[in-house]
Amino acid sequence: MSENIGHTGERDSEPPGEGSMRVVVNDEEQYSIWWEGREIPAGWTPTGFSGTRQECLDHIAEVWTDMRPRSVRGGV
Amino acid sequence: MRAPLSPAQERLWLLQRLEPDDATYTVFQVRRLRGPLDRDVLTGAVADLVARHESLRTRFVEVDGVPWTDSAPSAELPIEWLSARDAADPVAEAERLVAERVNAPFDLAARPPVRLAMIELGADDHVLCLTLHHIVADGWSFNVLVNDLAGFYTARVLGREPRHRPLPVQPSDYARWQRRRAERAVPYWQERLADPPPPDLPFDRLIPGHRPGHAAYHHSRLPARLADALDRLARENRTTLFTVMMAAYQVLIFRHTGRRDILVGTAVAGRDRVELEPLVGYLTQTVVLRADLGGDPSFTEFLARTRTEALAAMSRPGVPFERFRQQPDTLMPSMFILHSQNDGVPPPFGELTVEGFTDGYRQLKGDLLVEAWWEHGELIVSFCHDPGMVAPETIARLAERFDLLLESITAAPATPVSALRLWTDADLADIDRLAGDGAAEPGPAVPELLAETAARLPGATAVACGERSVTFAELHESAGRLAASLLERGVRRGDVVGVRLPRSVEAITALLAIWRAGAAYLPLDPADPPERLAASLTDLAMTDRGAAYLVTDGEAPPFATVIVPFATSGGPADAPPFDAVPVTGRDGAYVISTSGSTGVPKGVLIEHGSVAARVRWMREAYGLAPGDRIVQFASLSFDTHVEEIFPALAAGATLVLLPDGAATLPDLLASPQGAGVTVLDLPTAYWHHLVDDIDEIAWPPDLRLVILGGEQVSSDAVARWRARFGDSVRLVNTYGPTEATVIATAADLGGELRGELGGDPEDGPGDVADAAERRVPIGVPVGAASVHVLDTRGEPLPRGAVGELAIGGAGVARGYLGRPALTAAAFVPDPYGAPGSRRYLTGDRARWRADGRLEFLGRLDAQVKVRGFRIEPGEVESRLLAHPGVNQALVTARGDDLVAYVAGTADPADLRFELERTLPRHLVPTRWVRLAAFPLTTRGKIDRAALPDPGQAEPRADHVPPRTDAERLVAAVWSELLGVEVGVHDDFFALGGHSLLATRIAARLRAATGVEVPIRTLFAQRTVAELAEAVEELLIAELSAMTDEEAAALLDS
Repeated sequence: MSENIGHTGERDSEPPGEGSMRVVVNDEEQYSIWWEGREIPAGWTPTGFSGTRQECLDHIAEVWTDMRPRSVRGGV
Repeated sequence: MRAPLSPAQERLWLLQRLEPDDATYTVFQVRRLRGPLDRDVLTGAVADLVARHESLRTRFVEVDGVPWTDSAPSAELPIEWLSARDAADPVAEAERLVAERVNAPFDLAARPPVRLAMIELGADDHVLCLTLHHIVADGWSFNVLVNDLAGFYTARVLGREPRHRPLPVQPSDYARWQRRRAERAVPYWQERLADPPPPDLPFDRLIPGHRPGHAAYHHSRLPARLADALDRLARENRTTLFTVMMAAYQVLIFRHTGRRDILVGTAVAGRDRVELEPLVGYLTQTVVLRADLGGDPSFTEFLARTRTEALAAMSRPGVPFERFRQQPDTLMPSMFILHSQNDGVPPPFGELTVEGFTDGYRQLKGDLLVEAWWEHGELIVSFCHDPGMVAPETIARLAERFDLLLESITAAPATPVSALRLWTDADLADIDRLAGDGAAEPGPAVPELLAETAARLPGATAVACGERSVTFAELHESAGRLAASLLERGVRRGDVVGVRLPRSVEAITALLAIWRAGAAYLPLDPADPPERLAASLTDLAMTDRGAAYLVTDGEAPPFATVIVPFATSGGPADAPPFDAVPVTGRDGAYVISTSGSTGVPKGVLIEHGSVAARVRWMREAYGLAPGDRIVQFASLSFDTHVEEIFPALAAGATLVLLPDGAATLPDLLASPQGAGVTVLDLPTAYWHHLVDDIDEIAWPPDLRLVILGGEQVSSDAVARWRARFGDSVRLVNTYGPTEATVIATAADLGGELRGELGGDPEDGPGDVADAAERRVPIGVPVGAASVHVLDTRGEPLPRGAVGELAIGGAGVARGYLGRPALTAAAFVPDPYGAPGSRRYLTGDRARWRADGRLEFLGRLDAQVKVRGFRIEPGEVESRLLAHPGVNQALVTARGDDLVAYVAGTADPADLRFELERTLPRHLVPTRWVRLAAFPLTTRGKIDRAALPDPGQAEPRADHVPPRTDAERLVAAVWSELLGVEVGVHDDFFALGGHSLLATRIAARLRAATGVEVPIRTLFAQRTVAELAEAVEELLIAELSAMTDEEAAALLDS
């Protein structure tokens, strides 16, 4: 059985936001994640989904199907 | 009497033996004695003192390299009587005499290392200055010495016998006992200090590699209210003030370095037995506490961990530093010591009153020593540092932050360690000031700018390529025709179109044409294997209509819709002008494929607004104008080409191409065409190689600007550059990931231009830093970029603290094509930007230096740069692990080499062949090491330090030694630069050669033969035998072009 004992892209320090995160989206319908319980930066709204960092990213992988900004989608 | 030394004494003895003139370990007590002093009584009391304490009668002798103590049964300690009475300022004179004595070294072998001076300030006013070597006395000993001396003096004044019990043990007894105990403690320390973390300090060192000079102290005073609160917190948690302060200090280090595994030293009195209390000797033990801040504990939880750690460490004899491979400053980068409260009233000293007196001690112990002690109910915290290494304001800031941290801890001890406040209001204001403004001024997209240039300067030369050159009008017109043809073939606004063309006018034309068709281009390297090309097109350029467009004159995968650029050049000259498809700042401009850690490359999509912001800044900051000639060095598959091509064309400057490859730059510079070059934009690693042979390069006389980027710049190379060019050629260091559009920060390096891109001159740390050789900075944010250094919670950090560099502003990419999760993780909401804006988390470690410029400190993950190429070792490792004969693989960078370590049955030659078939050349390791198994550390991780040097890789089978003079010459040059033995059939690239080394090989061949060997020859003739033949031919050609006399003279020489 092969084993990658080398690098996996993991970081020395913990990535920001261990613990609970929420999925947020901006006016261009671009998705990202933000810490649960911390003030969300202006221009972003929570989608209602929250969970661990990985759960949030997995959710985004499902829902963010058209990655073009909304303003460009309208223009084409 | 001869006796062995304690282990701690042996360490000090060795240090003094190595540096006999070093006074670091001179320890002292200085006291002002007011009142009538009886000199005879004092002389008698000193004799009593020497008789009582063996340490004052002990010298240190060496027998066959082994130190022994040699204690005399009796000895005399003469008092040095000095007078400062007649000086203009007696106190200042006394201070000078004291400083002289406490900063003087001892000869341990000559006599017992103790000195006593009495300095007369006035009739009834004296300064007592007692100095010893630390090897015979610690801090505790001085209390013993002064109290005993006071007792003897008082007894003699009163004519009484002193009330001293005989000492039950002497230092030599202690040393024997301690040797046995220390031996038993060795396994504890070896386990506890295995795999030490990087020895990061909470500040940027001004001078890397600087050796300690004299110490400076910064003192802060914690008010009684805070000191009491800390004491209370200790009691509430059933621990000591020391443990609270130590834990707080470790949090201070963590918040400045981002490290959760931290080593801090401290000193333990070592007087835990009653019979050791009255002893004068070196009993103090230096122990190291290893902090574990993993899991982000609350402070109280971390305090409990620290308590356990302190109990374990401090109950043992000190760290046996000599048993470790690492230097002591790795195992103990800094120290924190809480001096115990001076309890009890000191005994009377006859009729004298005893006060303190300035000692003037300036010896440095380590890079940072933080000490605290009580004074009138307040806690004094002292930061001992080297002012030649740390700017005084940096230490002052650190002290303020420590004060604030202690306040935060007492206010809310249940707060997680990562959330405790320690940054001052001044820090927070500073962060905003340093960050830069990410907002871009509105302006046209780059295709519009280029159309403007074509209208403004139609006849000027836009691109020169070998013998050929085209004007701006021609470039614009042919790009229009190709754009029309792209639209005809079905390309639509928003598509991604592949470009796979050699370095040529057609390649530049194709980029412009794709933009004018409203699409984004995906540059693909013609040198990449076909498999890679097909994968890139499928992953990154497939339209929603199922087409994959590729502009190429070469081979293409069967599914691609191919547009051949030359087909457009024969079109009708009077074709109507092409109307470009209009784009907005949000339209895609280009896609760059970057290495991905999971084995699949990532396509970074950059929008036109980002390109426009960068082009605007570069054009202005680099002062580009018509008349400039800029070499197009970078492969189009790397985004540096954006920095070279578009600012130049927008400014009306001329782009000079390298049709035979980037490595032929020295050939170009030596040619008439190259002599007119004014601007170079080079990968740092390549520039380092050019600077190594700086006198072999035909630098153009009008060269005015060199832009560097991609790797840490060597300060030595900058110094050599300045020595050669003075201030005549501007040197700009740039930094930036592809995801933030080419560059995000820039720094002018040296010369009179210093500070132009270097932040606020008022922020400078002063002369100390200016004079020093420093780590070369990456500068300050460029226009329309904002930069923050973030801590583990994503909060911005002030100067001096290390964190992840995050880039906001106009250059932030749209994301990774077709990778929503990866994009959402790396491109996150930017609380400091416009509403809804994002910032890119780079994965790069960085810090704001004291001078307000950024410093790059490596990666948070495993990504490496080799010869300027960004590589995720995971991408290469996952390919290797896909091979059935590979059990384990580790890929790492060593200098200019990408090294693969593999364990398994596979032959490295087969693996290399396999990788060459699927990966770009820069991702194929240049050195291979096959291991039976990977070396592991005691903690079970791969022991990277124990991996064998790849230079010792096994020799190849078909080794044929050189046969002719020319082969011997070529082989000697190769083997010197490649560091391996070379046979005549060895391939330059197979041996680990690369284009950067080709320049140096050509320079050395020229130096040896006087013949100019074009660099492209090195690429065409890739074995020793072939190249040697080419060199011979060049020599013959040279000779035949000479007259007989010239030839005879050359052959004679």
